Amino acid sequence: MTSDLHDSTTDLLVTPDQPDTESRLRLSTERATFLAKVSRTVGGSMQTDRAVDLILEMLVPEVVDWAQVVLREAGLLHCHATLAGGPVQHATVPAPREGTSTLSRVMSRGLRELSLIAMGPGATDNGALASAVPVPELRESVDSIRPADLLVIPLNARGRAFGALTLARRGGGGFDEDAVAFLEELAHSLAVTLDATRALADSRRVAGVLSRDLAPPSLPEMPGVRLATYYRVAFEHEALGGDFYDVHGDDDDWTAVVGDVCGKGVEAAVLTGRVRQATRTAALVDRSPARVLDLVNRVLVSEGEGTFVTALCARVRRRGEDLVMSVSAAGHPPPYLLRVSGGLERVAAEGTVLGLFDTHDYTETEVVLRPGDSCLFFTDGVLEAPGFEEQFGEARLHRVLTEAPRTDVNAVVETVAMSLAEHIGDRAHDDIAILGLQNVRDAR
Amino acid sequence: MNGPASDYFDAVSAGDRARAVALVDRLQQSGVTSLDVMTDVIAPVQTRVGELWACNSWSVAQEHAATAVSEAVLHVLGARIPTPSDLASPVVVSCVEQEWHALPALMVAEHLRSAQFPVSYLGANSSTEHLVRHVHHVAPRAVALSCSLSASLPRVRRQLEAVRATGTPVVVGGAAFDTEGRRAAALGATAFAPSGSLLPDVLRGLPSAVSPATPLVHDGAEEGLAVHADREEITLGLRQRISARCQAGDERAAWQSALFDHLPHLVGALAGALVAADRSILHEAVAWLDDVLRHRNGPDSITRTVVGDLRTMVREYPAATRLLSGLLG
Repeated sequence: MTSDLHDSTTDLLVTPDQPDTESRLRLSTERATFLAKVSRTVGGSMQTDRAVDLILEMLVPEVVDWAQVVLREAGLLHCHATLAGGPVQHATVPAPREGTSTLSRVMSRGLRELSLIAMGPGATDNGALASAVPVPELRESVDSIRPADLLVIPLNARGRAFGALTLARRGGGGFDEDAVAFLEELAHSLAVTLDATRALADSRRVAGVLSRDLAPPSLPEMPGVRLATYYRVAFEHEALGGDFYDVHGDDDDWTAVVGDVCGKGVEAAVLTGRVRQATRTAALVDRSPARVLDLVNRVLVSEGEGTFVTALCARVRRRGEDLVMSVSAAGHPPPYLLRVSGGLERVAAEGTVLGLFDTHDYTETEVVLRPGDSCLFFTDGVLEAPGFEEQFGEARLHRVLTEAPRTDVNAVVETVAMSLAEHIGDRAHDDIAILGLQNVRDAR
Repeated sequence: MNGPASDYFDAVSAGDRARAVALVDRLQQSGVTSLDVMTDVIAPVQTRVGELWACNSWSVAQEHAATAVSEAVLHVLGARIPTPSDLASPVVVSCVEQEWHALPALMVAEHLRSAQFPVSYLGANSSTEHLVRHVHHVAPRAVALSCSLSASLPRVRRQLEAVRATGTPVVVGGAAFDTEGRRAAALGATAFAPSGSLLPDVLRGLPSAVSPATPLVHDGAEEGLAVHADREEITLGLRQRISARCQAGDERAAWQSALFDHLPHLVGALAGALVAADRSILHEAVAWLDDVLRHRNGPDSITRTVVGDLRTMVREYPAATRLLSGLLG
């Protein structure tokens, strides 16, 4: 699969006998091209093991006949090696004590070493070889090509060596001064790339832990209720956005909230985390949605950061086979009611955005969901979704909802999501969140 | 259709999700695997639903309601796939961006699970950004990308380019590909799986890391990407041309709304044929459109007229023009 990399006809390690300008120039050009190709190929991989395997596949057999990359991590040596024509082999061994082997010496000093190898029977027990290639199977593979020299080059970054590159050539072939200089250059560029990959893996792990709290939560199971969601962020590479939804409470008396904080990306997501938390706390004290919004507003105003949030908050209670819903809005598009009989209604709910004014004027609108009826909360990212000619808009949403199958709120949310995705195509868009809930008591 | 399939058909045609889920639950409790449920029950029923729509026996709404039930059932089955442990290097299974029918990808996931591969199932419509972020996150041994519609082939190219840039091998498969894997090779996939059951063998033969995809250089490749990028504009132009030809009374004819619904697919198939270097993609799409329109009493030469209109719309693209001229004879 890397055949496209092996198109070189010049041996990158052999300086021509007649060092005329033309052949020198050709060699330097080919070396530079190879270095560029290596960084291009390895640069995209953000996973260290995979990057190392790619490096080995590029080095063998184009440059050398056998290569090993060793990475030191927490008292262990992760060894990857490949022989021309074979797969990459992997093994992990405990790191030897400082200074007791060629490998550890190269890494602690940060300087390359060129060791002469004694050849012949029993060479696999050869101290020089064992000292540079700690894994017996990898030692056998390098011994099989009878190298004259082993070149061990440290992988240095940020002032220390985190690993080493070990190289060998077939049939007594060694490394002259010029070849060593080129390979050191290569090792340096590999070290920089690999180090970036390792640093990235660390920060990705930290970001992963932090974002778990900021991503939309998985929703609880409520008896007699079906919940469906759709969530799409503006900055997809960050996977976090300023829209949010949450559902919490008891089986027969609970709160659903959908909102949109100003801004996008991670900064917005941090604020959504605070708003969701404030909503949960407020709902514990008093589940009335107007009181919940009132409290959240006070929290945001007192923080005085000038950021604002729009939200819909609903208290949902079970009354016999019906669900009774009190809805309060804070500068947010009101929800749709989808009657199982086919009707489509807009809940009349309005109020001031959260976080800007010290108001207490949130009101509640009560609606009843009969068995089979659904309610759809959404953020204005739906209405403002950009299209080829125009935004998605109220009229289109109304039409899509009118035609959507009513039997299952999942199908409703999916239908809207499909129309949205088709409408948006590849255009940049705002965060989008949709939360649907359906009364499925006796709606078998 | 067999007994369970026929019961399942009744449930989806009634739009009854609870009955469909209960039926699948009963089958699983009696020892039928998820894979067999999908292969022997859901897949044949969905094929039948598609046929009923194509021959105009069912309305679009009926087809949507039935498909929504199956998608819900598949969602339930998908949620039952265990999340692999942190240590496993899973196979990421995903549908290409903007494809919503999860059935093929879910069947692939089940095939892999039964062959003891840890699976990270992304489901329908995974955006490129989401897919690449997930690849960085779980470091999979490979990505299996399912594509059912030939109009999505340019998106397959975009996604496999992005995934291969991370060094991760990409295996493609699905109804949008030919059985020999020529389209897959033209797009630059690491490998092609002719079926879900063959995927485990394909995966075992993959390298652990791959180099980035090389640029597409074949004749028409760039035009295909351009047509894909301009698909909305071209579709709109086609609609205007067709509307201008029709008399006012024809507006609500069944064939016309079916045609309008399918224009994006026709334009997409042209882009797909160019990007995947396979003219039969366009031939298949046109034959399908012709079939759909005939079942809805479309005018005799309507398909031909539409293909001619499309050729006019893309006249600045020589390879596209040649392809369409080939169809018009």
